[in-house]
Amino acid sequence: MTIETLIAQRTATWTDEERVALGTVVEALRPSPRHLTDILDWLDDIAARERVRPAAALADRDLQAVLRFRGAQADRLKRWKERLRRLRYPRLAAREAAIADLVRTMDLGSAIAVMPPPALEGGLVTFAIAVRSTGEFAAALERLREGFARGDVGRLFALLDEA
Amino acid sequence: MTPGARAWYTARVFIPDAITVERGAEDAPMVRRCRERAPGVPLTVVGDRREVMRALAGDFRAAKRHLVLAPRRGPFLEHCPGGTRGVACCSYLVLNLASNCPMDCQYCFLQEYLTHNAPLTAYVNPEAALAEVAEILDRHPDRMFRIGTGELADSLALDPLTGLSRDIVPFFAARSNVLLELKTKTTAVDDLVGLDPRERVVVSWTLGPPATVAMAEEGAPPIAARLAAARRVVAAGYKIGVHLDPLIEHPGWEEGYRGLVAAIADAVPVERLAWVSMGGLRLTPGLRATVRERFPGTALLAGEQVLMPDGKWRDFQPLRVRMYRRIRSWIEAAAPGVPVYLCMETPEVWAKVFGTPPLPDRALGALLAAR
Repeated sequence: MTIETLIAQRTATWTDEERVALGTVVEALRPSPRHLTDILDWLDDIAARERVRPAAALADRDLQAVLRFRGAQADRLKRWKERLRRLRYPRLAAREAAIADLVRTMDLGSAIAVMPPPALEGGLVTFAIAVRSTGEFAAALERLREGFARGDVGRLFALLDEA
Repeated sequence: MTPGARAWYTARVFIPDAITVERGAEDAPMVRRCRERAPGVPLTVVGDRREVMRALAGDFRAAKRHLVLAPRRGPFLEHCPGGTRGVACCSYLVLNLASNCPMDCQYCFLQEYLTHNAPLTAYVNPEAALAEVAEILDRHPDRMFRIGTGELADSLALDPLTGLSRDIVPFFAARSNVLLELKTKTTAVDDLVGLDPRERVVVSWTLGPPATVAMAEEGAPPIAARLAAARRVVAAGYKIGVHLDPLIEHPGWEEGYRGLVAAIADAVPVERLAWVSMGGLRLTPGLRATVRERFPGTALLAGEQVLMPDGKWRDFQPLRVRMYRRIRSWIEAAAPGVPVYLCMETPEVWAKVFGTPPLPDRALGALLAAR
């Protein structure tokens, strides 16, 4: 399905002004039909939840700001969709941000990567240690042990437990 | 009459727009009963039921209002399709006596499952279904079975027309190693209450708070009416099952589900409550697309659902866990000792909600069958 067909089908009940607002986004970001389907789905879902028009979210200041960024189109599309995703999934995004903040404050160093489960599903957290020597390995273990003793790991799993 | 009231009336005494009988089935007892009970409905006879499928292709709503009466030629019994890879299962058998449903719930998987075979169909050869059940029960006399008729259809929605419960309840009542579950959202219990289930039949209602019924269950009776019907079948000697499925996270869900659990406990004595299941809203990508197309602007899709490894969209896990835990605690306070289980959930969610991993499939099925 082409972008034009998709827009025609999905915005049949939009006003001209709303279609212009969407057109500005499409012009600036050049999304593929798949990305545009995501965008239109999320706009519809936000509208159903907030009881507003589907195009209302397009007026979000952060979304508008991303459109004005310089840089590669793909990068702007990624940032714009991330912002829209935060509007579409406010509690999930807030929980993901809280987990990212916690991982940062754990300060485990560059040898240790902490990867929570995608979309917080499944409960499996991966701790990856990448080292070049016995000494680096011992240091990484020590930082993990300290983090565990401070209760950081417990806090991490608590964030994955219940919302 | 308002559209809402008309829809509810329609569900209570469903009368189809038309009936089509496949040639050769004209003299089946079920066909005769339907003619007697819906004398004003136009009835035609066709050589092949697929003529109706073709005529109604693409109009799912119309297909729900056109009753086809035809024999089922394949097997009637199958394993519950809920037991897919990665989710805990309760070893349930499904007995398909009908296909599709006159109600039009937004979340219903039949919208996708029956896309190419949509007409509401009742199978006119239930004696063949019961022979199939008898064969498996007799072959495994030491095993306790749970069999339900409410997977591809509402178990009772067509009963006022077909009178099928008069055939199947006595059959199951006479058996010792099976529990029949009739799963419904309707109030169509007039035939049931005149029969003796002898502790072998559970009538289950799928229930949700009024807000989700109004949002997503077009044509289904209000909760108060469903619970009034439950009171009638309890008085007639049946056990009751409750399915809080799908759980729909919405503003005010805590008050909604808490009130619902209280209403259930008020309507059904604990000792007559066989089980309560909970299942989160789950939609395949195809079903999501269908819902979006058929119900534009629905709030059903506005929850924070994500795509899971099993290919279904569900509320993100910490949200589901919170709902399950809260609702479980209200159920256990209101109905102590009644088994509560999760439908189509992962072992890790089960462990978070109950503190233990799920029982093996057969063990959970046996626990529920023994109720």
